Amino acid sequence: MLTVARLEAAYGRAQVLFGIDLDVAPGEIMVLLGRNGAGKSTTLKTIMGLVAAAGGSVTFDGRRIDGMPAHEIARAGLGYVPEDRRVFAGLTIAENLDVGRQPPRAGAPPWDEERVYRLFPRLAELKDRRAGQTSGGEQQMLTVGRTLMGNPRCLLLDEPSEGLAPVVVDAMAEATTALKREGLAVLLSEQNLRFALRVADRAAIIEQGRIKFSGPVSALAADESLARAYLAV
Amino acid sequence: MTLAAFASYMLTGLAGASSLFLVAAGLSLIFGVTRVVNFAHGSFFMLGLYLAVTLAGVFGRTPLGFWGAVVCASLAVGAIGVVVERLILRPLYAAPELLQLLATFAVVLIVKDAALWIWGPEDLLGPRAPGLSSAVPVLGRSIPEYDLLLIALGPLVMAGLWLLLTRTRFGRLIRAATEDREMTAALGIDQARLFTLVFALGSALAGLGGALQLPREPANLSLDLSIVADAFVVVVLGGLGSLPGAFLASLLIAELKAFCIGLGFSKATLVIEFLVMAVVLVFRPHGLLGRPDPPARATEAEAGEPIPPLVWIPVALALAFPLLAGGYAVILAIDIVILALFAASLRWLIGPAGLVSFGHAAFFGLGAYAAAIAALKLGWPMAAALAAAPLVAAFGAFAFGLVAVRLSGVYLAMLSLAFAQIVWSLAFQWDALTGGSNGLVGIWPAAAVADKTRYYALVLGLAIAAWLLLGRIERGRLGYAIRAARDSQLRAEALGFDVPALRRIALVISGAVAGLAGGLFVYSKGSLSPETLAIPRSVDGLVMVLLGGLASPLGPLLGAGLFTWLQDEAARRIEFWRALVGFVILALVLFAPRGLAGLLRRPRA
Amino acid sequence: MTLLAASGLTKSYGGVRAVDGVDLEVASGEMVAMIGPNGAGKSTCFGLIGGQVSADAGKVRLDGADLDGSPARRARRGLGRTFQVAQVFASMSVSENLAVAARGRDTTLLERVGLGADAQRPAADLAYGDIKRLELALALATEPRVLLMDEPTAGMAPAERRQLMTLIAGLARETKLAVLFTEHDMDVVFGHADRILVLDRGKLIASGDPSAIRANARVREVYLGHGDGSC
Repeated sequence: MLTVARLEAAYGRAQVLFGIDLDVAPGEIMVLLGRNGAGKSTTLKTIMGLVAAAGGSVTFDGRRIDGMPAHEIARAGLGYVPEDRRVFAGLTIAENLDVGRQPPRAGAPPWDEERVYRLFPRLAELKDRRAGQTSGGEQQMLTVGRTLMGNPRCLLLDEPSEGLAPVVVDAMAEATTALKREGLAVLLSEQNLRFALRVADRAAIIEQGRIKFSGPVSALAADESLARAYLAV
Repeated sequence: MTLAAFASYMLTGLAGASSLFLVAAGLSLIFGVTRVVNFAHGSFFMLGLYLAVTLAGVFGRTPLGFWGAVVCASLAVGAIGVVVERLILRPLYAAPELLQLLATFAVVLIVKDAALWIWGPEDLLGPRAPGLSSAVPVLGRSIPEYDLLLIALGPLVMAGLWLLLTRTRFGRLIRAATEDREMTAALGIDQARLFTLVFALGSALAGLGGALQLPREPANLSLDLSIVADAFVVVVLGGLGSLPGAFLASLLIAELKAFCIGLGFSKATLVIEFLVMAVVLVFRPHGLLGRPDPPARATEAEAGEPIPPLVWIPVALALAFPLLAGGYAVILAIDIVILALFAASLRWLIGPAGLVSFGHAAFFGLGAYAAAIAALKLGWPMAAALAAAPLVAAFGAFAFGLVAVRLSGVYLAMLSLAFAQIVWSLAFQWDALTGGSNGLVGIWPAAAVADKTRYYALVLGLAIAAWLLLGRIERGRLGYAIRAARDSQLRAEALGFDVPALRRIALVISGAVAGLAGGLFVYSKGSLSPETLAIPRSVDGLVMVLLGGLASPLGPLLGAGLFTWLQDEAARRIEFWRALVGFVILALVLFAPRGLAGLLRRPRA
Repeated sequence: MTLLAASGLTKSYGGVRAVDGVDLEVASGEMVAMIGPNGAGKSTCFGLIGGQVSADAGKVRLDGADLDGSPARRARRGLGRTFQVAQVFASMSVSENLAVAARGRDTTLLERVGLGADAQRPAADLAYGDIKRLELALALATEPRVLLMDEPTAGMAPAERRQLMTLIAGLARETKLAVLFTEHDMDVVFGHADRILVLDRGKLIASGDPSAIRANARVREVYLGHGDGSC
């Protein structure tokens, strides 16, 4: 569904990505593992059009999307959940969700406020509260819910477990697997190997902007040296 | 004061507040979403009024004709706003904020000349509103009916905008984009379209504000800058991006003005708003209802190689040429070098110190007045009077620094504008000392440098010395500490640097150099007037610095050279020279965003 | 000997108590870790000690004397710190950064933190882990007596983390430096801290040596979880 080929990106003069290859299928969770600064977030942002690709291609549903502006990529069906959450602090939870609303897509039940609240019941209790006055965990749920309101077919999740209490991490893990069962493709970036092993089907390890390993998570779980070499474990 | 007088001032103030709010609301919306400080906002107001005058003439003197003209003028200005946004601002959204500001300033120049071309230099008075042309007695005083309508209109527009922002999806998108543009894009919202719509709405509001003035004041070509200054004050006083804040600030400013005029202190209106803004900003650095700034974009590292040494040869030749040529070249060269020195002092402040000043002419003017007063009133010789110039200006900068160093970004820029206005009104009103609006005349250089070529040699020598000194400081330990405070205040403070003190020092140095330029200016002209430190000079300084490019110390010289020469040449040969200057600025902003000095650098591999 | 002591530190933001009556002490030569979930108040706590955040209540003492006033004043009294989002001077080269911080003192800190080869590079071009390292060198260049480090090893590989923490531990012993740090990597915490403080919702819920913290049921519940602490 999503294919990334030889993707390159740079911030100013500093090249960050050196030819990334990845692919994700519907109903599959792919995890991109790597330490801080390895290029995980940049990869997701480049796919989303928030960082300009300096080379390579991104294909979504058979259609080249690299070079398209971010909002068109989002409308094409890619949903992006940033690592630092970036909720609209002055807007209420319900208003935040409304900003994410996009027209329904054929062949899939559309997301609305009620459906997001069923996935994250905690949000329903807080729907009229300003997002800036909610906890980090609640903001994480909101930012996922807000992205789902756009009816994405593939979800890019940037470090969904970062700095969250284990209880919230559990909720995120459950939500992610629930979305996968509905046929969404999920590409998530993680530093947290435990979270990755728990939810993902396949994994890739990124180091200094290059993919160092790609394969089923079972292979990663079996080979401790990989994790030791490239991840902060 | 009687109750009747009080009520009448109050109502006049409320009517003024409504039109002020319309302009400020548009400015605030545009700034909130696009982060563009739109200097051309006053031009949109002016266009609204001119268009309304013309349309009212076409539509005829019926209520429908009058209100049709008001509405159509507002919509037409909205459409002009769309054109400006699409053609000029859209390519600049990723550019530094100061370049966007410069681009909107170019629009000011172009619109002014367009209005001159279409409507001519005479003031145009519009018709009265049919059916609302009489006055209503209130407590024995008569209040124009039209004012009562305006009083109702302000809160109505506020309520309408409030409903728009909180109850509609468009409003929610505006608020979301005000907080985080990139995130709204990632959620599938077309930013470019949203920006255009917001710009259209904001310009239409400014146009409406102008059109509604139809029966109240004549359309004239000086409205643009005076209105935009008022609107800036309101927006900053209320808190950037806060509509209720803008509403509150409009009320405050308009009432203050109405009472000043009513009570016979009409001169005080020139300065009262800036004084109020200064006081508020000192105690509330983010305005009445504003929230802290979003963090500014990180400072870009110096890009590109240093300017190749070969470039200095033509520069040196150009500077030396007037010494040999004499004649008009010397006169022009004196102006250029003095303004280059002024621009260099401003570049020092904006570049290494990271403090943007919209009122830098204050220090130039303080120096100029100090020298003139020392020469005329105290009878000091030229050398002593010239020495007084940087000292007095430095003292002014120190005083400004006492209140200013806690502020940052646009708020600091606005406070500097307020400071400049206060100094200007002192110069304008303190007849005994400054000669008031007539200014001072008869300040001539000492006999040894009375000859223009010799005076140029003096100016050039002092300018080079000051320029070298600035460079030395910039590359010395103090300069690094000042740059450190700019790059990261947190880190500088955590290392024990007294950041406010460093900023004060930077201000004092910059003020002193600007003051020296002012002193040299007075002796080159032989006279001076309050114009010397009015807003346009501050803007000129900013334009020169940005044209030249911030990154290189050579920038101010190139910027001042081009700008002064262009103004001089164009003004002598072409009627619509402002528009020409505007187009040149736009071309440079769009095609040479690093300034003239940037063009001379090879990009780093 | 207690060098840094804070008592009753309290700070509210909009009615929420971000830090709620925190007491802590760090002795000279001691390495103390502060852990807890994001939003527990660790960074606010550092801000209260460093002076970047103004306290609603509470007191900080350095070597028995009140430590108050601006961050700069506290820095001149001997408090050095790093920030969660590393703060360096982006327009300058690495060596210029250090020269500004060291104010003319001779220093080999760049070599010691492993940036000797990068001295001439613009700081803005460094990788995140290297920016963290540079920031640490800047903080150390003022020869502080107390060092606060906010997530010092974020963005580094395991071997680099160990190396950096060993360097700090060495400095702490040599120069009697008191070190307080936050960290999400539990290997770093349990491998290098003499003592651990656990913060949750603004309150100190536990403190003690690593083995006691590892065994503490409450800490496992709110932070460490039921694995071995890496989740």
